[in-house]
Amino acid sequence: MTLLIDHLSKTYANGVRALSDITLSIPPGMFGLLGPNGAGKSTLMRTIATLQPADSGSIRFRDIDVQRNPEQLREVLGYLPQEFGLYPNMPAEAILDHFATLKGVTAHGERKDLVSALLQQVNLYDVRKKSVGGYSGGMKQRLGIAIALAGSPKLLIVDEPTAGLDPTERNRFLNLLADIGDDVVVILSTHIVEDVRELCSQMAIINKGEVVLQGVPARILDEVRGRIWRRTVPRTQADDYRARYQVISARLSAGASVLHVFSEEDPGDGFEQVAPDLEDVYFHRLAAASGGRVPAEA
Amino acid sequence: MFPQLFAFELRGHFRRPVTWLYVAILFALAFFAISTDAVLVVDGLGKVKKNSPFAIAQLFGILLAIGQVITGALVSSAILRDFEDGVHELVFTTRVTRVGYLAAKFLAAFLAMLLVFAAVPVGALAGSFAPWAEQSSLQPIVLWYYIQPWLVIGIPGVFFLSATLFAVGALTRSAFAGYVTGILLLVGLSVGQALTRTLDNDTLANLVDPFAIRTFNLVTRYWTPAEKNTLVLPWSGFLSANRLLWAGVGAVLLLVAFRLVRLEKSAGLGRRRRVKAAVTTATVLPHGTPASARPAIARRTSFRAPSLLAGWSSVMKFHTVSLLRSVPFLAIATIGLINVFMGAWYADQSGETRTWPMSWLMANAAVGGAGLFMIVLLTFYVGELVWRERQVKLDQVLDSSPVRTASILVGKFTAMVLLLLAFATTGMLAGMFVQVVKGFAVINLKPYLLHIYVVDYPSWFAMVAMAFLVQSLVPRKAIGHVVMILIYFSSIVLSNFGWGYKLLMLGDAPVYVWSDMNGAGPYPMGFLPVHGYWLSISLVLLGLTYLAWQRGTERLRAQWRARFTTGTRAVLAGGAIGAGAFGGIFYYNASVLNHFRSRTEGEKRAVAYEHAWRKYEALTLPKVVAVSLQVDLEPENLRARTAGTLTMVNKSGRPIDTMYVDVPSSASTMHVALDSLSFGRPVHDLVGDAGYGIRIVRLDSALAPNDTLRVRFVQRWESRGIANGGSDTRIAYNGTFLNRGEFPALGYQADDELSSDELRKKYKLPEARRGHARTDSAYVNRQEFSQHSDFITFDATVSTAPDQIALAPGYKEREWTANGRRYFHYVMNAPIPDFYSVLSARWDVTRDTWNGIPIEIYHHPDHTFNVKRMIAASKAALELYSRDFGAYQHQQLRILEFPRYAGFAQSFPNTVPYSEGIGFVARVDSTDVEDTDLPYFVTSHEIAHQWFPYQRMSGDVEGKDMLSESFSEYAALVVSEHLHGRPFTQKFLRAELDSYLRGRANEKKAEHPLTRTYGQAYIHYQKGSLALFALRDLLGERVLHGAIKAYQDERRFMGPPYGTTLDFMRQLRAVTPDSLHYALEDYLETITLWDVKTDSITSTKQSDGQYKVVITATARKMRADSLGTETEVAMNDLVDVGVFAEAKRGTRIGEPISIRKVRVKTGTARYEFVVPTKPARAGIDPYNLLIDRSPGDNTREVPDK
Repeated sequence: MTLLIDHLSKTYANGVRALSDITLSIPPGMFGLLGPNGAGKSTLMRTIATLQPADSGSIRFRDIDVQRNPEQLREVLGYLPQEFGLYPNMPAEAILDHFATLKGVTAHGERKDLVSALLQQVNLYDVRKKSVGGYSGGMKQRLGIAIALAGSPKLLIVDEPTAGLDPTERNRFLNLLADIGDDVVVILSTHIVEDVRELCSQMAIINKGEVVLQGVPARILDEVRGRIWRRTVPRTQADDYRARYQVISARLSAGASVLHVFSEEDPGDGFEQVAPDLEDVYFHRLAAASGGRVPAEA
Repeated sequence: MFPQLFAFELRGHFRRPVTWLYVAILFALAFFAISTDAVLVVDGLGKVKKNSPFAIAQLFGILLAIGQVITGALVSSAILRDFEDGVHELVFTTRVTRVGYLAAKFLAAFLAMLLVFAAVPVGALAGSFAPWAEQSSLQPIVLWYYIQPWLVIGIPGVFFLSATLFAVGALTRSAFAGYVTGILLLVGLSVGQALTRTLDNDTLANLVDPFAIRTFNLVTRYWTPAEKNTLVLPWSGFLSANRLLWAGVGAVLLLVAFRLVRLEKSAGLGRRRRVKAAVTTATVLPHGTPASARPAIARRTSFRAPSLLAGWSSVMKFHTVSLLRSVPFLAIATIGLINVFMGAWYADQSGETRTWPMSWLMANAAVGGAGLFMIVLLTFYVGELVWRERQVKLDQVLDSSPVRTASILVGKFTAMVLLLLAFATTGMLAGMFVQVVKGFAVINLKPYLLHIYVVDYPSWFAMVAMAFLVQSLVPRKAIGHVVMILIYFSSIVLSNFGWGYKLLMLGDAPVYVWSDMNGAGPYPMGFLPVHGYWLSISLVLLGLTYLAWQRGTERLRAQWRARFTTGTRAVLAGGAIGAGAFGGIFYYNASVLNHFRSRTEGEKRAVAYEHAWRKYEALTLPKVVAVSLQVDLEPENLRARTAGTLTMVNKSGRPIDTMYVDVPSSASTMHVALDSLSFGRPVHDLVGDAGYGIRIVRLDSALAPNDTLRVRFVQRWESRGIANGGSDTRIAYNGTFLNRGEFPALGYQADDELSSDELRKKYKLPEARRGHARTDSAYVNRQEFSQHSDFITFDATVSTAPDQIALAPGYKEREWTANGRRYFHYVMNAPIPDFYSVLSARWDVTRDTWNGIPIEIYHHPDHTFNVKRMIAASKAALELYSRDFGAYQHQQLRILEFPRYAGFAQSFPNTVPYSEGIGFVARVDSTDVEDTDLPYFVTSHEIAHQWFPYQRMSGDVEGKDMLSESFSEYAALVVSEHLHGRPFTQKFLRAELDSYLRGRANEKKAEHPLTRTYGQAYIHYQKGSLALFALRDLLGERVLHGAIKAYQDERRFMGPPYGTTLDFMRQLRAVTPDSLHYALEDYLETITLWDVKTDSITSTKQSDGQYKVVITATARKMRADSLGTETEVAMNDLVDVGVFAEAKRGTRIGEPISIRKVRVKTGTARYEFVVPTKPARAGIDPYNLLIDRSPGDNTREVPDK
């Protein structure tokens, strides 16, 4: 039941090394995949989703060698890519019905029930006859997950699903994910730490094509617990602090910079200790991976 | 800011490779059009040089029209690119103003387009320097000739085009709307042409054409070769009106666009409505709602990919529906349907001919009108279908679903061909609709179904499959479109090179012609091999497409291997085997059993013929004096046996020891074998060639002067298989027509030589024959039909199928049945020229008599439309001709319908075969201003041939055609005038005038005066009737007819020597008063053109109730040389000036209220009339008897005052 990714590597024709010896074991349940833009998340997702091959390594899921038998994996796969669109001149119902058929739900009655249940579940039932060209981003995203869910996949991959959604839509969307059965492997790729914290029982952080960290979110927090310090400074001084401390993140708040600093002991200087959240872990790990430097805007 | 933005945009255009692709295509087209014959965009030129200003301007106009479809993307993408990328919002936030932004974009695109189209003159110029270009088809380079069309046609045209596409792109924000606009403009061109085909609508016709092609035709229609080589398009009249109009339209559209376009997001005129209401009211199920509260989704227990069939069916249905819901698709299809509808609506009119909307005609129109749109639809929508998911970014979802790749590909393919089927079907229904609306409700389903579903539709599969393959291989959709355009173009090039072989021309439909008489005839034999071959190729193409189909985000070599399964191999092998088998069958038929000759091979064959046999041309041979035929037709098996005895007498005065016989040889699918050829005495073969059907023998004992020789031949005919160009239809299931050429002749046949000057030069043959001088006694002693015959006696025994009638010239002596065949014996009792034919068909016969002479019309049972009219014409013609030109020499007159494989009527002694396609289904409508009652006229014309030239044959010299065709055309016009009246004649003469002027404009060699016409139809038909009719007006009918009769009487049924126009002119001059000799010179002996024009008319009602009409008119007269160079000559000619009543419907001019012949001199003069009733129209030369290039300005409406 577990998705096993073993020593997976991929280098693109232009020389970009997108995956570098990735090994992950992903159990049923929600799995969060965190990483900055360009970390190789999408490449990994697409490779698992049979859309492109890896140069070396293997992916196994329920006795299926994904690289060798992509057709078999597709039968149990639901995939929602990062950026996707829909046939703009077609109604949601027809699109969903079409994809349900393509996924193998070929019995007419069964498919009809499935389509209407899914449409209700994603709250698009009332607009099912409308062309999706007029849908908002959130509605499209929900129809996307409905398509991914059609055919009750055993492996569901959603790539950056909440990017660009407003909070309400994001909530709606995460609710949908949360409802998926426990026996399904769900990979949620995102660079929004909160998504992972709210939903995932397991997670991994990848950066530059490598797994930086893998584990249970709650336990991962232990790694930095008691070592995250916060101070609010005027924006103009932020750079000074950067030079002096291991700043892992800087956020603007009411015109001032809120700095998070990783330090084994109290740095003093007005810093106060805060309870760590996943973001701190994430930034800490990213910073560590890039030699202790944090991108200025982070 | 503006200059930077403008420069940035312009640089951008030329940084994109696709711009250079457009440049390359236009350059190549122009380059090859000038330097080779591969691109025949410009009409056949002859004496007009390929780099003449005429040819270059025409090339430019056509490439502008074609090129706009390709290049339109340049303009629309200029504006759309920013919208798509969202850049416009960034730009909008900079300092540049909205108008500045749009203006920079437009001007850059316009300038880029101008530069792209500059590739045409540059390509043409480069083509003129190509070392292989035929130098004789070029003239010294004048740079202005290359630049001028770009300036006068190009700049306004490109401006209009750019403005329109820019406006459409900016307002709709849809690339597709741009395409649709381009196509709409092209269709508009053809629709406009259809709508404005009446002669008097030149002004309107000129204005409706945005590409100025029509303008070009109007301006240059009467230009002679000399003018075409030296004149550039004058910036005035038609041209400036048209160009200014369209540039103006462009400017208005641009203004509208500038006013309306907003740059804010989604500002495209609010087409896209957001789905709102439903969503806001929808309840949001809170997280953690118990599962029972949610709709249950059945959990699947088994996971299986959809079957090949289920996937295919879903993909097909989904995409069919999706395309049917797409506005651009429907727009193109609708435009296409309008085009089909217009085509069908006007299919029954071509020039002066009006036809009943027969089912086959409508089916033709439906197929013809749909063709371009089939190509457009499949090119664009195969692109859409292949790229659809990648375009909307749904490819990853689709590709990661378990549906099989074959289902996707075949599903999309099926969706495309289904939509084409729907389009073709709608076109067919449009044709039927037109047929019913036009008042001919007898819908014959067979030609519809056969033509649309059996002949045409299957041929599109290969093109669709090719488009799928191309789109699956190219990296971008637009490149696929360009590749497809190049593929279509290569087919055109192939056939221009004379290599139009069915197995090479992608998706060529099998040859097919419907005839009501003969049905589909032999053509269905070709359907299976041709369709079978291309459908097999389609299978191979689809197999390859499957291998190349991208699944996933990378294009993979490994995929090819994985997909190369047993199934794929089976499909590819099946396709290859099918292509091999069907192609093999076709090849065996077309190239082994029969011959396929490319154009060059055909030319070389003619060259070889001339090289080998011309040297025997001067051979002295006996003259044929009697022909006796025995023909056994087996129409049901497409076989025949022809036998006959030619009796000949040595009239040369010297012994003849060598005989040259030319018998018919195999051609197309007709295999002709010579069973025997005997000379009635021992002979020795000297030389011969069975391929050409030539046999030259030495008579063991020479034929003494005045001695008689009987040559007997037996030939067997059999149609075998199919040929590339279709089957031979001379022997048909119903409607066999064996013409004179299907029987032996004596001596070398000069007609089989290459005739074009250019080709003769290319093959280093002596200069083309011109007519022989009228004083050359050798040729005056030789009659026009067959150089080795004089008048002959004739009889024929013909057998045919028991349900058919067989016919040949002569009278039926006997009819009997033997061996299950029906026999007829025909004997001719008067001397006839060596010109006869044999026909056989299932006819109905309608009979009548004139003065005891039977008139019989043999026609297809359904074609009764004009039978009465033909009988009436026959009676009127016999009446007039026998009164004025001498007695009718036969005791019977027969008109025979034959299938529409050829579209002529031809007069044989007492027998007139008449094509199904012209008179029998013609629809006479006297209320139509173009209609000239063709069945009546043509019947009269053919009957006139019984007099001209059959009663006095003309010698084989210049002017001979005047003595037959001009006389017949004229005589028929007089007969028609008796029925329809003078206003009708004006319509006819006006049409003849137009044809003559166009004919001389297209003259490839040299124009001759009428009395020296030589094989120039526009002279001996059109100018002939006009000239003789004008002379009738001047001399009087009795005088003219008297001269014609005197010419006939001089040597009626005698010869040699035979008649020449010198003989006729002698008779004519004798009866023409001195004061009118100028007219003989002007009309008959020189090429004379007049230019008369009514400048103004005033009309005042006098106190006595009468009207005083004052006409001011200008006149001048020119003489032209053989190439059309004109010099003005003094004019002092008798011309009609008159005042007319209101014209009746269907005519241009009413009855004259007052008309007089006036001596008109060069210059302007006033003419006064006082008439009792209100005048409607007045002017000079109202009946168009003068040869005038602007006949429309001769009369004007009388102003209402």
